[in-house]
Amino acid sequence: MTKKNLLMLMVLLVVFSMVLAACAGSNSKKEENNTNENQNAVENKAEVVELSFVNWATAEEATKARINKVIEAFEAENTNIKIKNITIPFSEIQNQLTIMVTAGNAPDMAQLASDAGVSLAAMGALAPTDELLSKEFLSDVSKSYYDIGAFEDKHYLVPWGGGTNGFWYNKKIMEQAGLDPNSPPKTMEELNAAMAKVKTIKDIVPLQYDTTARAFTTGFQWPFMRSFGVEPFNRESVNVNGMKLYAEWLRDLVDKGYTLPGKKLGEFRPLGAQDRLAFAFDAPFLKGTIQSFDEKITDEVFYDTWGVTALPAGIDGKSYTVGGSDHYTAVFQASQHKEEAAKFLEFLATSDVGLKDYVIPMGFLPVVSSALDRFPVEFDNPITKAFIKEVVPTSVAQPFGANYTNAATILANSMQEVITTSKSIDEILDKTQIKLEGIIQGK
Amino acid sequence: MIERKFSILWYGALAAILLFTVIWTLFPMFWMLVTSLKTNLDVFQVPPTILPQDPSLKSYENLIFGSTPIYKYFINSVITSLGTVFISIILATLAGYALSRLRFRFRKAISIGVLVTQMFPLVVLLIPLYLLYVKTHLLNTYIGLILGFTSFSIPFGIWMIKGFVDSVPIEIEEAAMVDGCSRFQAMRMVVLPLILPGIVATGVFAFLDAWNNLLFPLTLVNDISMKTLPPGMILAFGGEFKHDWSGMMAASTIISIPVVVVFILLQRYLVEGLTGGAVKG
Amino acid sequence: MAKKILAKLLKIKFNKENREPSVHDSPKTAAILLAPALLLMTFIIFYPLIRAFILAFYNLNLTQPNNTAFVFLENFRIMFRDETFWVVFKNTFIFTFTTVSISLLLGLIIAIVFDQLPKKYAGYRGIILVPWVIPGIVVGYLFMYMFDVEVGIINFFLQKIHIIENYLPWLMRDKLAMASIIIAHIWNQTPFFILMITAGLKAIPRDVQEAAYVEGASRWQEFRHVTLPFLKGILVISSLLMVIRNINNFPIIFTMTGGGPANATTTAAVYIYKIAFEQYQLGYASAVGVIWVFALLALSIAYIKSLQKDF
Repeated sequence: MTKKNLLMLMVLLVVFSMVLAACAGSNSKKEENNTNENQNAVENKAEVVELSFVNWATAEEATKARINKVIEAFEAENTNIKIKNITIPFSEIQNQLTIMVTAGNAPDMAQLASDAGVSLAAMGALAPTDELLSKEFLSDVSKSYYDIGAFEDKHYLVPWGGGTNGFWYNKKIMEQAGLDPNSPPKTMEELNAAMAKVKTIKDIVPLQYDTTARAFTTGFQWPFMRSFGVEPFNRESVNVNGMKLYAEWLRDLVDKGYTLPGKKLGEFRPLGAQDRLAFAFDAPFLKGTIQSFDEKITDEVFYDTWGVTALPAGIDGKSYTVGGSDHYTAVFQASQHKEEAAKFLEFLATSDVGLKDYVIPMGFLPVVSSALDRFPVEFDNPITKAFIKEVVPTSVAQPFGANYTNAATILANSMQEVITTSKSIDEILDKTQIKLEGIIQGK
Repeated sequence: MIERKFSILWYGALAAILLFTVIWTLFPMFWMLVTSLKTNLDVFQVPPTILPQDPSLKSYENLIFGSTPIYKYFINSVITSLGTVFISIILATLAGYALSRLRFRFRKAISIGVLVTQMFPLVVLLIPLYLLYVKTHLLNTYIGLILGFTSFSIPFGIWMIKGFVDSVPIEIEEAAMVDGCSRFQAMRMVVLPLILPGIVATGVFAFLDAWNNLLFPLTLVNDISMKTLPPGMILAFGGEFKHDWSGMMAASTIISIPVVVVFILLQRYLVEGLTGGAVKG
Repeated sequence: MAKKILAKLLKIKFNKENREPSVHDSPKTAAILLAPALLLMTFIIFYPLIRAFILAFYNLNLTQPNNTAFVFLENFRIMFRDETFWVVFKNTFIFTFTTVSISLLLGLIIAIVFDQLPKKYAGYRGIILVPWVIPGIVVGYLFMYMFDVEVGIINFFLQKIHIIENYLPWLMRDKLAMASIIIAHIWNQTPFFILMITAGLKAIPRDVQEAAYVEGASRWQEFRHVTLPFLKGILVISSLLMVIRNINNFPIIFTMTGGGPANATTTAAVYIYKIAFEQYQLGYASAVGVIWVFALLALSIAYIKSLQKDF
């Protein structure tokens, strides 16, 4: 019986591996072809530079096709450069890159969120861009985006697509709830009242709200925190113990079922596509993402359903936002081909192909001023206009730097504690205050 | 043989417990399989349907042909797991035999030391190991990963083999040696066949642990193409959109099949290994 | 156990400790046989362990390699004042204790019930042992899915039988999240206890059980005075082993909750991993690790003691 069993095991394992190998076969053949082409290219050109590009843009099928088109166009223009994609999901990218850098295994370039980018710059992992980028690009790039990538009077990040968060409202749901679809809430009180009304409709989630425990979460919640009168921390001081109003509002938000606790920002987007989300605080590319879930949502349908404006005003009467989903890229200090890499990153942000095939269809805001003149029709739509006129002017900067990721993660954890325990809010905030003081003021 | 009579009540209680056990054990696995055959539209259906409305292999197709290089992860998992099995079997058999049969100073100390190492939190060892691997360029290599995996399976295997060799009467071996065999010949021809179940068990445990290990490949490998299945799954589903439940369950099924097959075919050895060797020194 | 059976079969009495060393016993042979395994273990276990003890006295941050410095007991001072450390201590205790005791109890009941079945059904026992080999990451994802607030089958089921009114955010409420990870681990580990206890039951001499029956002992009395004493050794050993394993448990918690919400399910292994590989504070993580090594060492000694008693 032993022999029979062993034999069967072997047979099963062999079959299983063969099935997988067969599936893999089709792929690896493709790769072989590629390498053959590479080799040919090597023979022809003698010097082909391969640049590794870590990004999350290729993690999803919809964006993968678009980005590959841009890459192909770049490679056709620059036959001596090949781009090698390395896909890492958004939530893992900062951690993976940090580990790769410390292990001496850094890629040539990467796609980065602003906070992660500055953290890596503070580590000394990134190459300064002021000398690397072309004069034309530097004079064309929007200064407000470029300056976010500054650390100790040098710049390290190359803007790619503007992703300022705006306040989205679903007009259909508002109408259903008996609200005026053309006058979104103007203040936090009005927002609360609107959410209460929307909540009465079955299966509708009133507000998209990220309450995960990531540094990203703190960036997302930052404008809301500002609305309740407090900047949680900056480079010198910590004001967490003044956040009571905000924390109480947050606890209420979850207790009343106005949002799904513990979900990532992105997990609300499919709900948006099913018309089950009333209000959202998301980047301009929410449009492209929602459309990618359902082909029936044409531009026209989308503009009829969704409107966007600045976040309802807080207790000081002002609206706030951050460039929470701005997409940046960067060249790594360890790269052997910094100039070629910089060339590619410029191409992503400013070439016609890059704009036409990625930035515009995804719904990003342009980061170079010439884009609006070159594609006047494409950027002439209610969403982009509302973002540029109403949302972007309310942007505030965040204290990015060496300690930001650490502090922001702790703050996000505390906010999670607010909504997942019954502990007193004062107690939670006081403890967080001490922890953050330890990090920021080195106490 | 005297058997107790079954009263109705006793019989009912047994049946209830049996039923509970079977549902409790099998339902999660059944649910995993069913979800992997659903479309995501089906998954979000309220109320959930027990069987998929129109079963599809789409999730498996997406996994194998999509942007996740799952076949690469699979191959990496196979190579590192089999490598671990190979090294563990050889080294554990030699050492286990020595600790059981030979008499030398520090024998007891070494035995206990080996036992205690099984108890160490691997995550603590991982920190210096990571620094060591950076220096010795073992990060992102099969051999580095295999060595990491053996930190559990070798001490575990040594004790299991030792237990099995203990149970082989020394008289048999001595008889062989009286007949002119050297110690190594006696070991090979007499002891090894008798402890074969223990060797198989060592191999199976090494395989299961390496296949299921998440901690080591998560940290000791940061090159995507060198990841094994468990960390590969985190990369595939740890993204912004966690809603691909069907894909996640399909990947779970693919990872589970090899270990379940190995277990069902070889469970006799596992049971024997655990109860005869590893746990009961 | 195998030894006992074999001894009976061959009717040979042997005692390993009093055995005369044979002529071929030499330290040299021992060295040759042991060297490969010991060398490897030195490289991957002993060296890292010693290095971890040294690192515990250093401030070493992966992202700031230039700030490395010897800080003596500073890491330990910070640790004992850090509330999270104590939260983790408490979590680890609750998690381990609950998981092991419930799995043990379930395992005992199920093993005994299956032991009552006619022999021809014994083969089916293999099926209920399967959860034990399912990879931790799969268990984590599977239970994360079943406990999901939106599409989770558990919420649906509980609402259907009117135990809950509204869907519960299982993984986003401190105590519920702890309960969720415990349930997932019980599912995963009960088979181990079933397996061990079944082996123990098989070793109970039939005639002792029969004698108890003939003397009119009730089922409970038989269990209390015959079965349990025979099983005691195996229960203690398997529990201790699983306590140790659970303190070091990583993949299920990491994938299911990531230690959240707000550290409510962070146990020792997850905590150390997060400090080391998400905050990159290798020195501090080693210091926390050293404390756990000592805690586990105490448990290991208990384990080894009970092993020796059993023999």
